[in-house]
Amino acid sequence: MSTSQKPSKNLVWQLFISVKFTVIVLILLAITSAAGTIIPQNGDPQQYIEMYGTFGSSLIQVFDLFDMYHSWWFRSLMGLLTINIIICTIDRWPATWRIITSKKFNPEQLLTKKPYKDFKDERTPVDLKPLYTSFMKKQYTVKGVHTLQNGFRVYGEKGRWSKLGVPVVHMSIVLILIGALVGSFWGFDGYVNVPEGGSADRIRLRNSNKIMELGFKVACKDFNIEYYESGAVKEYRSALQILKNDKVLLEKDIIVNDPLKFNGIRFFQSSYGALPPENIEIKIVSKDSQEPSIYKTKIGETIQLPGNSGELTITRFNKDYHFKKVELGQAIEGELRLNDKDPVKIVLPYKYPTFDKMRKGQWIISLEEYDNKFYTGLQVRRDPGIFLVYLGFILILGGCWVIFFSSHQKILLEVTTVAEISQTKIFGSTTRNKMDFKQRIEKMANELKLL
Amino acid sequence: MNSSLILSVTTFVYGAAAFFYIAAWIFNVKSAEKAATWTLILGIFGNTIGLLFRWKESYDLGIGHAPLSNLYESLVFFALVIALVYLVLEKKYSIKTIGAFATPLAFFSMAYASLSPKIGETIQPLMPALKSNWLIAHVVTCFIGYAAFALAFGIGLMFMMASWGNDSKTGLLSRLPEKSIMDELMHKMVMFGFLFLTGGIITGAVWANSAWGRYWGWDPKETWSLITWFVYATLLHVRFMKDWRGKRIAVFTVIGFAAVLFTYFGVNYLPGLHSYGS
Ligand code: HEM
Repeated sequence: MSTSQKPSKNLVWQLFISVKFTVIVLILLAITSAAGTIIPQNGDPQQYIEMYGTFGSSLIQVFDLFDMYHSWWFRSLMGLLTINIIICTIDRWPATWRIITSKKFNPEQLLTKKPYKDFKDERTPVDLKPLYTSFMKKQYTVKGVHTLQNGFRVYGEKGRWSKLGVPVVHMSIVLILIGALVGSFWGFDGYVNVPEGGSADRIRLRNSNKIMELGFKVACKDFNIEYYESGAVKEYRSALQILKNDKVLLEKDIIVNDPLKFNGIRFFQSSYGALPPENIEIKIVSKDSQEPSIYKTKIGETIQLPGNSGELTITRFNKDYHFKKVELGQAIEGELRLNDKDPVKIVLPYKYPTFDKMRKGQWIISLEEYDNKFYTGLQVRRDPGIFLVYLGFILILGGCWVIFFSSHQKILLEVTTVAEISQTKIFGSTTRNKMDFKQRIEKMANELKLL
Repeated sequence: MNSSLILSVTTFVYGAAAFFYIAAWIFNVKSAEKAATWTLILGIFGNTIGLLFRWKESYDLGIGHAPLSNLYESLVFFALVIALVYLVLEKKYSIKTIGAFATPLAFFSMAYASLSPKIGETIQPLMPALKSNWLIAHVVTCFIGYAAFALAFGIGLMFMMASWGNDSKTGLLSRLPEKSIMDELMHKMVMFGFLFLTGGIITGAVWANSAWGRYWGWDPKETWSLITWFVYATLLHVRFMKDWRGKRIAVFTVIGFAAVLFTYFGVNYLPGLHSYGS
């Protein structure tokens, strides 16, 4: 580094402008990030003890390895990289800026190297001078035309600004990290389940588990799932409304890739679930008489069986009933108490309304009707840093584009006559892409011959 | 005619192209070089047509989506981009020995897609989270990046052969390009790949933000793409330390490509959520 010799810069500064330090930090970040993909993150403490033993898991606890991407040491590594980038950019900036803004162009410097190309031309330098000059003007910023004793020189350059690519890339990384920091300080991340036909005005925050008031209501008018023919889910759709003092301010159907935005807060479709039915219709048939009776009931209510032979209580709604390890899905559960027998558990899965036949009891209980309502699970997020992050995204891409596709090129054409024949030499330099530059000069030579 | 058939045939065309390139290099036959290029162009043609057919077939099935949504489709696309990026390189610099190291990669990618019993070829409907134009931008940018890294890896192998190999008799190594040229091409491919990997990570982040409201969540696939990015960023910077040219950069292209492959395939063996690719 050019400034490393200056005595005024202390050791810490020296460290932070060194690319060696960058390389070490980058390698450490790569290794630790990889470790975090092998040790399961945010798992259950019990699980860690089973996997790594007591000692191993307490070591993991001390170093926050179960949530390492948010640990003090991982953040410090990121912090070191950030400081490294900032100091490095500050250190190099004066030199970069000088190059970008400098009007100076030293043709002698180009002449010290071997020409890339030389060729002869029948025409005289007087003929060639205007042709070459206008040719150069089309492709380069011409910085000078000199007449020599037996010829002339014309030189120019382009792409001074390409020097900006590297600092732009470096600063956009800082910008993205600042954006992430802003988001984590002033944003929030929560969730709420809104029943179909219902509404919510508070959410639960994911990090702290605290309740947060929204200051308005979000209502779900309708929730729908659409399926492909194969049975796979095609789309989840919630019809949402934003209400304040019972006035509808905003209305929108959201699907997975299309959230609702209100006041900087975004509502994402993230999950769904079945709600317990409110009204249930149950059919009870006696095995002997085959006589059916229909009852309208609710969860928590008790039905008297025909002929006072006992009673049935609807105890609860089970979202996910398993029968001998087979998943039967949503079900209503109840307890049957016959006068002279022990209570029996009754299960009425939605998918198999006559499941209870299998029990081979005196009474066969089946599900006739129920209202099948859902709640929609919404992710609720606010991220005031997103603007900075996206700006950083655009700048880093632009910067990388410039680094790859452009370079600071200088070209000098010199024509001299030797024994009545004009001799053209093309000198040049480029900051990168040497092979492309050579090809460019070959092409230029061919074009110059044909002028 | 259906896309599966076209793509299976394409696999063999790529195999033939790779064979010609390698033969041209080993036996120093100019005519094989010509055949190699034309065979490769034929392969690219078949690969493109195959993907377009597959695209159309998905619409015929009523579940129309771009053919970039599962492992099979991504491997086929990967092969196409490797072949295309190589062809551009060949047109530009006329160094055909690189073909002997690049086209086999396109062939392997296609062969793995067509022949591995674990990879389903059937066109599947998209799950809701994948229905986004960002998915297409994400996959396209990522795979252009991966293809550039694959080429850098190929050139890196050539560089290592040239540095450590020893054959005064056959002259195989003397037919490799000059080291300074390989060094520059390696760097060029890495920088190009870095540009597109950056784009791939960014489009992925934007997509995640539109689907879940967060642009970064440290899931294993995301994390591994970042690790890959760190590895190549390291490579770009070691060039500014003394003596870190040529050989060591070549070694880095191998490490970098290993990180790419792990991001692509290995992550599925880790605990995690990224459903795409599995
Ligand atoms: C994740 C972090 C970083 C990324 C992604 C990054 C990216 C880049 C890129 C793409 C280049 C251009 C490479 C080329 O021309 O081949 C570059 C060059 C460079 N970077 Fe970084 N960089 C990072 C961190 C740093 C840090 C912390 C330093 C501080 C010492 C640094 C110092 C440099 C220098 C000195 C150059 C050469 C500039 C030149 O050609 O004039 N980089 N960086």
